[in-house]
Amino acid sequence: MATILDFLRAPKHQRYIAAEAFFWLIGSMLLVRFVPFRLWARWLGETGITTPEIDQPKTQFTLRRVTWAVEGASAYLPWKSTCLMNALAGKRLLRRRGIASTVYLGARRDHDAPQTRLAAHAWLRVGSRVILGADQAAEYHPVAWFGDRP
Amino acid sequence: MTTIALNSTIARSSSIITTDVEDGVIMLSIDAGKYYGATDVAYRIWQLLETPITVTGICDVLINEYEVERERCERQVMSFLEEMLGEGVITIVEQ
Repeated sequence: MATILDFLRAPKHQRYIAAEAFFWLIGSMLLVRFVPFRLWARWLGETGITTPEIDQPKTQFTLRRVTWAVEGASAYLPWKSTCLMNALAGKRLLRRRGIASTVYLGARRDHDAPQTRLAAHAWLRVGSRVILGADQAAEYHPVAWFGDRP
Repeated sequence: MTTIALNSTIARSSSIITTDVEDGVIMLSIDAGKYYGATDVAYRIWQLLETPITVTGICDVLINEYEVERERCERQVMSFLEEMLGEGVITIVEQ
């Protein structure tokens, strides 16, 4: 709840990134729900490539804004925005700002999950920090990763 | 739809990304957009598929490692491989 109120009270220059986040979250939802993964997987980055775990001080503020914008906007949408939708939206926001990142798709054993008995998660890393999907990331085995070439 | 015969050579599909986990393997198929998990016997079969192998070859190993009759092994392995083939996780190299 606090996130939504912060969001609405945000100054104008922050509303731009917020609007961009909305746009990409809507696009991500449509892709994830209606388009076969293989057709848009490359928008997550290049398969098998990772980005350096080095933090650039100049980008830290932008990274916090991206986290704020994606998490804030997703709370405001009428559907449950998944970790994958958020990671994809975050990736696009970062690319437009020239910041390289890596999306991780991971899975773990989940004995309660029907059929596969697996649970899946997606998270986004820039430098040494996971900026989206961080909460549960440590519990999952990274299975595939998609990064940006320098 | 191709079916699997005893002398079919089977190989892992190249579009599968795998990660070893504590009790088996987790795979992601980019083509299918799905995850698969294999433990126990399925994991053993997956390990044997590291190099192309026939159904007969798989059962040669499984008969030694598990207490199972050849005919039953062949039936179950072929049925399991048919399923994996349907999911695109494996391919038939030559018939």
